[in-house]
Amino acid sequence: MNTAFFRLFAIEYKRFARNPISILGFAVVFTIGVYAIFHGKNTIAQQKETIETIAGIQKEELDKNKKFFSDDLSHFTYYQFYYTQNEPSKWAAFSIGQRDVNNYSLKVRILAVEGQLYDTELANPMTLLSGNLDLSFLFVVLIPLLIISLCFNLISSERESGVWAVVASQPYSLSKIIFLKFSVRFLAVLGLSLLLLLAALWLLELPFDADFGLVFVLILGYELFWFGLVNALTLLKKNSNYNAVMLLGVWLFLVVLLPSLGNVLINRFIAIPEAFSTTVTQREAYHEKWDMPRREAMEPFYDAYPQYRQFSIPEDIYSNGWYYAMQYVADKAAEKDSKLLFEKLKRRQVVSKKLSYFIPSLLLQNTFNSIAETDLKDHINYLESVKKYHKEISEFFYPYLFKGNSIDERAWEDFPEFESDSNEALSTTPK
Amino acid sequence: MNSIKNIIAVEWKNIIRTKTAMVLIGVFAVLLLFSAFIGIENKVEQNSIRHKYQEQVHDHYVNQPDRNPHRVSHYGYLVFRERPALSFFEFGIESFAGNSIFLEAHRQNTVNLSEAGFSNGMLRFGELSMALILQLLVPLFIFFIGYGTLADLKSNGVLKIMLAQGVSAKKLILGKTLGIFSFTTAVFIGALLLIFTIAFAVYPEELTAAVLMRSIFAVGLYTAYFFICSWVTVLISAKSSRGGTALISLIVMWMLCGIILPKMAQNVGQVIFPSISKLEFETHIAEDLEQIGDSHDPEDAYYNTFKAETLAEYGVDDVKDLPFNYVGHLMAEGERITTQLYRAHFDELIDTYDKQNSIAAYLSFVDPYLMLRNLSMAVTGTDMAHYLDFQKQTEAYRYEQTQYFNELHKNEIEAEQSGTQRLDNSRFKERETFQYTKRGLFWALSNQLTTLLALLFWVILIGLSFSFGFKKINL
Repeated sequence: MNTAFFRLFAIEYKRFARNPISILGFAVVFTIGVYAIFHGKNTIAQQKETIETIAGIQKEELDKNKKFFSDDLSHFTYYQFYYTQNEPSKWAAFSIGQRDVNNYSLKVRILAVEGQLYDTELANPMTLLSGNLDLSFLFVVLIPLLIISLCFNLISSERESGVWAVVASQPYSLSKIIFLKFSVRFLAVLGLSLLLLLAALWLLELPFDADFGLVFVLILGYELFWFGLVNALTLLKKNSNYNAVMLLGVWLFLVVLLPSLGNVLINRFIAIPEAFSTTVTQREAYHEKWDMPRREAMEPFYDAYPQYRQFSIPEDIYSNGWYYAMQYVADKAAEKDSKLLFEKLKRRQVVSKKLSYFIPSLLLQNTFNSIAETDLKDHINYLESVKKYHKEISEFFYPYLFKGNSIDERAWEDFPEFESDSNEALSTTPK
Repeated sequence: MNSIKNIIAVEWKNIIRTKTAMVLIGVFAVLLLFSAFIGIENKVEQNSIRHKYQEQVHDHYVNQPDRNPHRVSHYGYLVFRERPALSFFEFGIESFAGNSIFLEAHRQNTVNLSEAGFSNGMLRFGELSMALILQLLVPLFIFFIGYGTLADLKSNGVLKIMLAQGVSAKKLILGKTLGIFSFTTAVFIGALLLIFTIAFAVYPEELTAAVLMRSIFAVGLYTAYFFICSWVTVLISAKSSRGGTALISLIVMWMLCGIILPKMAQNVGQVIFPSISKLEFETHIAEDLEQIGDSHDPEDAYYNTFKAETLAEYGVDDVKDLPFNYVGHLMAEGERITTQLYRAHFDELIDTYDKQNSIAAYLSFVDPYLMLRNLSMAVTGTDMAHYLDFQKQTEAYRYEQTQYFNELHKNEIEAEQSGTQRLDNSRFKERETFQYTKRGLFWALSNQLTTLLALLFWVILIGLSFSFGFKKINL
């Protein structure tokens, strides 16, 4: 029986391997796969290139401004930007996720931070709309189409051509034959997936670790799911044309309509007017302070930093302490909305995760993006680390700004540095 | 007996008798209604939020206290982008476009807070809109009802008999195409008209003359698209020996044209015409600015010359003796230069984007889906051109406003109290706040000439095929 099974397997394999349609399908998907690997590599390499220039630009600007405003700290802090970066993970090229939409190199001044967090990265909106053709897209969207095209008429075409009657008259159980036909295709698709994954491992220099194992297991599970689905539908004994249309419909439903429906629901039920209100509130709060008595305007700042109460603030003329304290006060006014916004964004992420347990395509994409650190969560982490950095720099300058208008050269040794990895910045204590 | 009318009638009867087709119509109708509902709701909701904050910003602006004009140019103005009327039907780039922009002196800010920036990536699967259903799902419906229309007649031998009876191949293909097209149009364009009518009956204030023109063009456009799809279906059916082969060919074409090519076109465009990051963009401007001069540097050659020229023009030796406040004059010059540089670099960037997008425009000659998508976005005001137009209008307003404040500074603020003297708030209030000038249909189409040409190409191609082609059908 076993040898017979293997012989049948070999025959079925030969039939499959000689079929021009399946060869074409595999060739197309393989070619797109190679393209996808290079596309991911290029996109992330460009981002890395930009990030690499940051240190140089920062140093150059600092040197220039330090020299230029050597006796005018107030103007120095007004003009000086501090650069931050959200480094791509090794997996980012595999699943670019939201990295093309979100800014990965924000720069901030020690002016109110809320108005500086959402500066958009320059991008062609049409390209953003089309999305990236990266490997994650291939696995989530294209592989199911390949599976459908290989299997939709696997049994029905033989039934239609009359071969099935011959097969059925053979001394093998039909379910075994069906199983055999599917497993040949399944192994081929799995082989292709593995080949592409290994190519990615090599070309994208992915780490060979538990994440790699998880990605492989997920892809395996996803492909099993699709083969199971196609198998279940073929058991309904409908004709090939019906199967083709039906499976395409199922594909559209699972890969396009359901996720987009989920997106609509999330946007609808976790609406974020706070994105606008934060901007409006922060701006209004800052500018109204200009027309208030100075010390009164600075009160929220004094609450947080009482050590600066001792410094006198002249009424009616500009003073450093007053000017930069107002920046803090403006952020403070927007704090409630800003916190709510971040909470809601995190909730969006959580709900999306819950939904993904019912939508396989979403589960796969979400997990890929999570491993690659290219999802919304990663971006919020980054924004939080930028906020934290902004606070550190402001606190670095406050003593000098309140005491006078200069800073001594040695003080720069303690200047805070941005911790490049957004996730580490939150979990590890500073050096 | 076998007049075209008859062929069409038979086609209708066949479609109506196909149970799956009726089920599909039911499913699509539900989807269409649902997406119309969420499209309208979303648009109305978004615009009401934006109006609310826009009003707040406007009220704050007109109720501001007496201020120094330079303070007012830093106070600036916040503009919220209104979603176009037809964006309930087609989302286009709406979700990826920024929604608020802060307009202030010295700086050209980006349009921020796009919906995509607050999404966890689910919207990258595609967005459920009426346009999506008509662009991608209805063609599948057409393929399904039409793939066997000639191929099946071939395999069961009926076609041979019909041809022998003297029905011409051309008449057959025309009749079949018209049959499938008219049925699809009756159902889906009918539904579209119904939904548009209801939408504008509920929100009559949205229906301006321009929106009406745009709607009419959109309906015409989708009708033409359905004709192209029907024509392709019948053609493939005629070339195929069996229905199954025709269906598979059509589905493969659908995947290529609807899923793979659009993505490929954009990705390839990006590779051939690489665009720069924001950091590079800003660095380039800063470098150019350094070449000209820095208005904050007392030693700067450009501004020293500017000062000398100003002094010479008025025949005085010191800025104090000028008949106006030199600070305002200087700020106006600085603003002029930075704005000029920014605009030149911005145009260059947009030029690159246009080149990237041109790949998709050229592919419209082979991919009707791309042709439709580009024109549909243009006509509904949800394409890149409209978004850029918004940015250009805000930038023009920003510049005009800033220079007005600089002018006030120059002429009405005493040099001795340049930073502290306030002007009566009526001087700011009387300025009109930003109003986006909406564009008409012809403006929208003028940005898509290549794609428009592709539409013309398809129309001519189909016309020619019926005039000169289809002499016979290979059995």
